[in-house]
Amino acid sequence: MKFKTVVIFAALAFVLALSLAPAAADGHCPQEGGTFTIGVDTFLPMDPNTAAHDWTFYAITNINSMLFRIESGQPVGDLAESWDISEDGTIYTWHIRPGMMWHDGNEIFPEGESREVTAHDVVYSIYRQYNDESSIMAADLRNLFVSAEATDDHTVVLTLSGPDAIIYDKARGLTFTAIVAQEAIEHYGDDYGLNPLGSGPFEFVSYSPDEEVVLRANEDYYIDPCLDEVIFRVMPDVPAAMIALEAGDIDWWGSVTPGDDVGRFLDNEDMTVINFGCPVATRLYMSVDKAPFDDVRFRKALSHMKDGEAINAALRGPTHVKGAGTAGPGVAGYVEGLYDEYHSYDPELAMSLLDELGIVDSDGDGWREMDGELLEIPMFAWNSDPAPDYVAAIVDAGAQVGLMIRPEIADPGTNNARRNDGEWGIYLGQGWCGEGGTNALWGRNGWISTLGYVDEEIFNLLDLSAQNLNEEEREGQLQAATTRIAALYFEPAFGFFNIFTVKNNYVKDFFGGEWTLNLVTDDHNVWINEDER
Amino acid sequence: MKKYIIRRLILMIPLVFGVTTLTFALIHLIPGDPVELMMSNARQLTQEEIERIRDKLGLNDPLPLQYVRYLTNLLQGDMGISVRSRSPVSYEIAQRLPDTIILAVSSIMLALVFALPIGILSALKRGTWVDTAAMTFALFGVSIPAFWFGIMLMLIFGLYLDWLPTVGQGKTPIEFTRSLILPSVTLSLILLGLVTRVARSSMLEVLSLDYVRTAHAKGMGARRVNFRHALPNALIPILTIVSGQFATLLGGTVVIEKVFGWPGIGRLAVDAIFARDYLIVTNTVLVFATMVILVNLATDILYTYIDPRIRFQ
Repeated sequence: MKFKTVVIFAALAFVLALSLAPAAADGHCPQEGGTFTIGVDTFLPMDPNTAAHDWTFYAITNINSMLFRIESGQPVGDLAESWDISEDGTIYTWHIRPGMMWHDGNEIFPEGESREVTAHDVVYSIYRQYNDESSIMAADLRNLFVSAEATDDHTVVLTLSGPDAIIYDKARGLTFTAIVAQEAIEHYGDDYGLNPLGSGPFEFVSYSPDEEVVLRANEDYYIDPCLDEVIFRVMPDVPAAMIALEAGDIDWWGSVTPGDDVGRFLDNEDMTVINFGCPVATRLYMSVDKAPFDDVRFRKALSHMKDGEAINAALRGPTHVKGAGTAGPGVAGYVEGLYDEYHSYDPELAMSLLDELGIVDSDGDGWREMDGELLEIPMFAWNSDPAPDYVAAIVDAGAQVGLMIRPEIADPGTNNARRNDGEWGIYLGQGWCGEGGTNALWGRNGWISTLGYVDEEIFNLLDLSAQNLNEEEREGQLQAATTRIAALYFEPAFGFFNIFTVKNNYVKDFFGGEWTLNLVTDDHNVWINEDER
Repeated sequence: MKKYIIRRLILMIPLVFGVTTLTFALIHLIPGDPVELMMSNARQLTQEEIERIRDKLGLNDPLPLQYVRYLTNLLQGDMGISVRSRSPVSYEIAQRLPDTIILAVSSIMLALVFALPIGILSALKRGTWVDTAAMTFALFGVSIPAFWFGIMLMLIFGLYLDWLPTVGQGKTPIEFTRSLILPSVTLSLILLGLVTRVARSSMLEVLSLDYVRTAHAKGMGARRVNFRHALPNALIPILTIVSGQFATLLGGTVVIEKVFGWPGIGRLAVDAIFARDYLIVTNTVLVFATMVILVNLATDILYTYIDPRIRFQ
């Protein structure tokens, strides 16, 4: 009898070991459970139509399924298992993953009463975004959109009037089209963003404005999330957030980390610094349709009078990246050597160009005059770090060549209004990452068109590239646009800076956010090593 | 008294209306476009897109029309929709107001618990080392920058000692109380300095009055003179200062809220100003104004209890 019991237990143990073996073998969840706390500086309600802030999409992309996700710059399947693109690039046929269910246990779908996410939901979500004039759906996609149709429960056909090469761009295209349930939208109306409902790896639990958003694992997702819970903690004060990160009160700081802290965390063996992979430019814009900025020699003088690289390195610390142009290293359209060719530090050349233009110091007071009057140029910048330091550096560089530059520091809203009004002067600019950003900034109706940045050749090159599916040709067109912008405008560049986030090392299988956040995909399933915490 | 309160409440209506109108006008005078300010690194808009969204949100309508729309909705109990978050303004305010009140009340209580005894002791021991130490402490309280003190507390108690959480409000009442300690201590330090100084000077003034001297001359015990006769009269200026500070705190303490990630109405208002979220700004000012008026009214009523000689006509 005793022997029999031993045999039964041994058999049971063997069966149990066999059943556990596959999970251990593929290393799916070395440790299950735990809460992943993410610190962000701002968070808004989670309606994909209106959520304008970057970090809000960290939550949306985990609550809602997306047709596809971007991982290391490439689209990977999510709700769409696969898709086909017609040869001319105008028809996308998306094959929807069967068995994906809406989150249940809520007002819309009580526990166990959910339904499958179908192609009709995808069509509804696309049209909801398209028909809402206040949505932030990118104009390029809106302009090309013809129709979206569900040919059966698991197939969506999206028709465009022309090919869209940036449909997968991290900042444009379909990347932000989250799939929503019509029942939830109709039930909650304008309050949907406060009660988001999706079919993604995590379910919405609660939202406390300016405080936190809580999500819990969706057990019905086609991959079991390793984490039990995800909390987004709003921390508007970055120094305080850095302390919270070190104290382990947040596990990942998902917003931009200041350069000084990046340097500090690079030396911290308990932390990992993660690069967003999309360097952001800092540069100067100016009223190129008004004198003296309308003369390329003046713009050239402004560019050469300052040591942009040294300024950027000093102000950005380890996040500084040398370069110039519409896109940084690693981004489509980047042109190597542009900085040295157009923006190298050469105050002698700057002074000779100003002399050539007749902008000279005729009364010997150390400041140059134009048409007999002191040339005093306002420089507009926003009032948060490190913008005022850039202004100080430019004021100083101007003084070295006899140009009087007057700082005009204001909040971003006032600054934008000045630019919109085409107010005469120099503007400090920052941002515009990626290919979509290049279009929104330099393209037709671009953000700085009010200052006179209107050039048909540049517009055409960018229009062509945005619809060119041949990667090599598109790269050539983007580089041609970049080079033309540099040669035509000489927009004085400082270089780029990388955006870094920082995580505690006990967070595993995490590759970082890229405006959207993929915590559970075919290739990644974030988990917390509680032993290391 | 009842008539007085009703009259004050009726007078509140034109006052609040005036404040709201002025705020609506002023916030629109500041240059800047809310739609452009929504734009972020990942959501980059062209001029065409910005115009489309402005049109849809009614931001291109003439200002008087926007104001009439706002007032009409307000009279129906609808504060409108936030341009930035696209959620109801009333929701945005209601979500944060309790947190602001909790932080304000706890800080005031904390400040009073320490400041009153210190201030009174300082007055009673005037010119001694106790007085000097108390006044140094008060000076420290009023002059130390709140954001620096808050960060220091976080470093010491959150990071190095790991006694208290640096962020978040927790899920249980105990966790919530623990999370309240650092922000309320930081905030109370500023009040503590102020209230200590007022308590001391007010007490000193009362102690020098004739009736106190008479009480001592009659042979009454020092404790009875100081606490039964002097202290109630010294409380009036303290109450005035505390109620004023309380009203200010209800308007939000932006720095503390920001450092500790505390969701308060002050932070909401300041963020809204920078985001040109017009309806949030106008309505938070409306709420501030109402609260200040109500706190002042409550203070006036409290005076009558502390000093029965005070009567309202």
